[in-house]
Amino acid sequence: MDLLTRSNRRGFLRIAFGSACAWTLFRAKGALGLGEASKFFWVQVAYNGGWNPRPTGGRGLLLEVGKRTSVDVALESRRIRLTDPHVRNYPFLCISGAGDFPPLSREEGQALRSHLTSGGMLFADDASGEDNGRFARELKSALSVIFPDKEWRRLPSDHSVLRSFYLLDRVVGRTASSAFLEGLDHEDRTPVILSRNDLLGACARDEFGAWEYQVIPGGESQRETAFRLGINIVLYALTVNYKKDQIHQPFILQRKR
Amino acid sequence: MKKSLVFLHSYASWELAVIALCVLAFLAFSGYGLGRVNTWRRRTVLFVLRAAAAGLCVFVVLQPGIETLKVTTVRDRIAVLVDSSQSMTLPAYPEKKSRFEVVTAFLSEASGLLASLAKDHDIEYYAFSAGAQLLSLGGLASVAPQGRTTDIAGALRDAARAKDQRLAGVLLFSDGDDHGEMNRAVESGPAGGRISLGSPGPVYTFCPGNQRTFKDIAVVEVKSAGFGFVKTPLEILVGVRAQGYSTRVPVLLKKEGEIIASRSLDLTPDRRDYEVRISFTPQEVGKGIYVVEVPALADEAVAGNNSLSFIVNVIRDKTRILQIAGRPSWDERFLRQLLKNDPAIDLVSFMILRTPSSIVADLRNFPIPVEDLSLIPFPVVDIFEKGLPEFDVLILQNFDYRPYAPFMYMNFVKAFVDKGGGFVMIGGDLSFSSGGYPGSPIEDVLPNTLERTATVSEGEFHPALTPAGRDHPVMRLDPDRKRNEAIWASLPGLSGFNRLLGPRPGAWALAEGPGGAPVVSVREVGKGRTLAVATDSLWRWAFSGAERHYRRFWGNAVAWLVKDPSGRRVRVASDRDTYQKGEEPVLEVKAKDPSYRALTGARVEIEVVSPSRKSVVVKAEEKEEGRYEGRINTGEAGVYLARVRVQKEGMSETSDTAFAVEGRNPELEDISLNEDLLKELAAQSGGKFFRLPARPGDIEMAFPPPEQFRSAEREKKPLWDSPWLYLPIVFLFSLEWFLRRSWDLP
Repeated sequence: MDLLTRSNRRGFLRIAFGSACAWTLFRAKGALGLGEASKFFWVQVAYNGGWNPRPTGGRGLLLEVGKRTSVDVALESRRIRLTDPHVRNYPFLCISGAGDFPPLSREEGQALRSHLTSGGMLFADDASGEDNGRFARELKSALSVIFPDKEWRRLPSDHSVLRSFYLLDRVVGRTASSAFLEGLDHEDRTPVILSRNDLLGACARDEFGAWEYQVIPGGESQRETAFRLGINIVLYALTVNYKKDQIHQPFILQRKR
Repeated sequence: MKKSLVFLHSYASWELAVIALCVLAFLAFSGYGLGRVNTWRRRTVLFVLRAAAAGLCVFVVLQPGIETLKVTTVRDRIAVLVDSSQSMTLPAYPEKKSRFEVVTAFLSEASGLLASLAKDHDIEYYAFSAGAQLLSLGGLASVAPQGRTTDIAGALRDAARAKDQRLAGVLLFSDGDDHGEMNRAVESGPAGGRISLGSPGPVYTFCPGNQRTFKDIAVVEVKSAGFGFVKTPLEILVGVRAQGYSTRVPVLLKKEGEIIASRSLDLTPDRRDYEVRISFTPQEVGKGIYVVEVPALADEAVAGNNSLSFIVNVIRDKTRILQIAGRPSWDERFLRQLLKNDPAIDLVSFMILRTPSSIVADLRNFPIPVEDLSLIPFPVVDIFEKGLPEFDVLILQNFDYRPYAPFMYMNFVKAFVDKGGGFVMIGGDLSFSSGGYPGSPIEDVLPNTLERTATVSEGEFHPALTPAGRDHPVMRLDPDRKRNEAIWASLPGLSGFNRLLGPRPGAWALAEGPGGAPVVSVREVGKGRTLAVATDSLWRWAFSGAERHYRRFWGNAVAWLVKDPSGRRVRVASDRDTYQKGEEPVLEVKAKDPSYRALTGARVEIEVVSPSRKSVVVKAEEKEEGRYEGRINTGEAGVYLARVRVQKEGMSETSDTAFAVEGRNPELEDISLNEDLLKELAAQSGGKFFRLPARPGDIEMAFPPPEQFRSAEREKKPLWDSPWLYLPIVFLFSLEWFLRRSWDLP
């Protein structure tokens, strides 16, 4: 009984404290933009299958984005189907899964292609965390149908996504099974980025604020790196090749020494 | 006439021998017969008488006659050639009179000298420039020197061929400013060879003025590419010709009367031609007239050749834009991508990725080392204090300056606009009143005043074009007015806007949101222009199928901000860049009112400034709504500036253009005396060189005497049948008979 009471009280305090912090944090930021269109939303693409394996991952990531960067984030994640006419309100989309990924319909494929070639971005996260996960395989295959003229490639170590906020030399998530990100390029940017390491799994928190999943093998330092990668992905979506501008090069080269 | 004794019959040699034998036989017999005369004196007298008579008989036998030969003396010519080209109107330095006047004055004083020459020679007077024209002395004095070129060799040949009469020599009065083969031959030196002048006689050359004391500085040439890029250094090469100076002079480059660059030039007496390189950076796009000038010195022979105009068409290479964003956002992202991918734009952007309130610790609350970050310090000083003038447009996009730059730095932005820069403020939660701008120098340049308390309106809305916006170039997404309005009505809706107060005087609201709140406003401030876009959701056009219109809107905005000529309210253009002398260029003026609607019924005047700085005002007539035309007369070669002033109901706008008229007068390019040419000509022809003014009595000239020749007319008159020829024979014989009787001889 005491234990339960203590647990309830502790849990209550955690929630109250967490909410107060969150409220304080975002209250201190002042007015939050001119409207929802100004904010960065985490938008999960819904499809027929296990489309939302990490329901709190996006929110958990955006919490850190909002704390550590100047990006104006909306903490409530959204879900949308590719054929939804409002999909054009959200330039950033996330698609994840842990198992099979059904082929996209023609309408879905056209909508996604149009979204990405008009300036949108898709982050794909394989929640299985396996190097050769089924979700990643089938997603790549589905996107190759939409973009028959493009080829998947490993993103090099000097890709803008690895230096858009943090200077990263490791690609990790909840797992570290794949040492690299993969992507599809269009013009001068990479609108599709795939992680096989269950990045959102590292960012997911439960309602008490505790981490939902352990990060293996690197533990909490790996989780921190995963968050940094997630922050970089968000910043990349918003800044693209900003860090490739000439003015940044001397600083980056010096810090990379 | 010349008379001579001739024998009319030609005897053969044997006949003459027979006659001679007969004469000898007669004389021998006579001598024998006179042997009986007692005294030798009487014998001699009688023999002489008989021999004389015999000689006269022989003379008669030979048939003597008188041949009359007509001998004529033919007079030759001396040509007086007087240069009547335009360079002869220049002063005969150090005299104040013109060169031509000095020459005609000398000819008037030298009447005695000319009269003495006229005794043996016919004197002919010619005025020449391209060719020689025969005149009288009186006619010469009334010639107006207007020739556009000088060809001394051609004039000499013309004079030589003018008549069959031989040319004994030439008196050449000229400043030596030759543009024909004579000058080329002299310049090429001995290798140039002698020129065939057609005159066998000496050429005496007379130069009005003294080259040694001639002082002048002239800008003779400007070499330029004819075009340049705005804010990019451009170099020109200036040719300066100077004589008689040893000093340092400034070479100035001016535009609209203002000195924009200068170089110093050291002049030395032993050098005539100089080249000066001048570099300058054009600041405005468009056709501009530049003037290179060397300020005239007080003792110069001619002050009017010290400057030269030329046209440079300044175009924009790339528009330099500085974008500063207060945070990463979709609005910033799409605008940056658009500007970055525009090959005509050179974009430098800075984004605030982390604010002072951002947490710098990791998940475990350990501080994150700065080496782990790709962030760079925001270069406030470099941007605001030093770098701004290098840009054409500054964009502050949802940027609150207060955490990063002191208040006073906003003065740099204001000065940037005043000096011609373009400035854009784009809305968001960190912009306008929310960005700390009320009461700042930036508010002074914005199109709108700002509320002291930040107010934003959320919610979806469709911006509507205002009456001013319908014709403004920024809002023209289609050239057709109706289609443009239809496009604006069909654009994706926007979300949220910063509340701004109404446009200031002189500013225009081009689009408005709910309740007439200005959403897009413009203003012209000082020499610059500003644009306020009070929303951060324009990116939706780019992402929602209206990307073309999004691109067009920002393209229009940038062009208007940098005053691209296509966006000016008053534009004037000639139908061509270059004309021939005498043509009438047509200038077309297109005028719009402050809200960019066609301006009708305006007073449109064109002030045309000729190369010689004469100004004429021409009224332009309205041909269509907002389109006016004026015709210009061009009498001179060179660069013309046409300045248009459009006035109506308190509005007054100007615009310039320039055009060139070809047909430069080489006579007035090099105004120095070419004594070397005149001396060389005199030396080659056996003449002499003289300087004017001079006393006629000091002029020594020698011409070959006129030629005489025998005429073909001859007349022969016989004498042998004249009775008077026989009388001496009869007398001689009679005298011998009388003396023989007197002396009592048989």
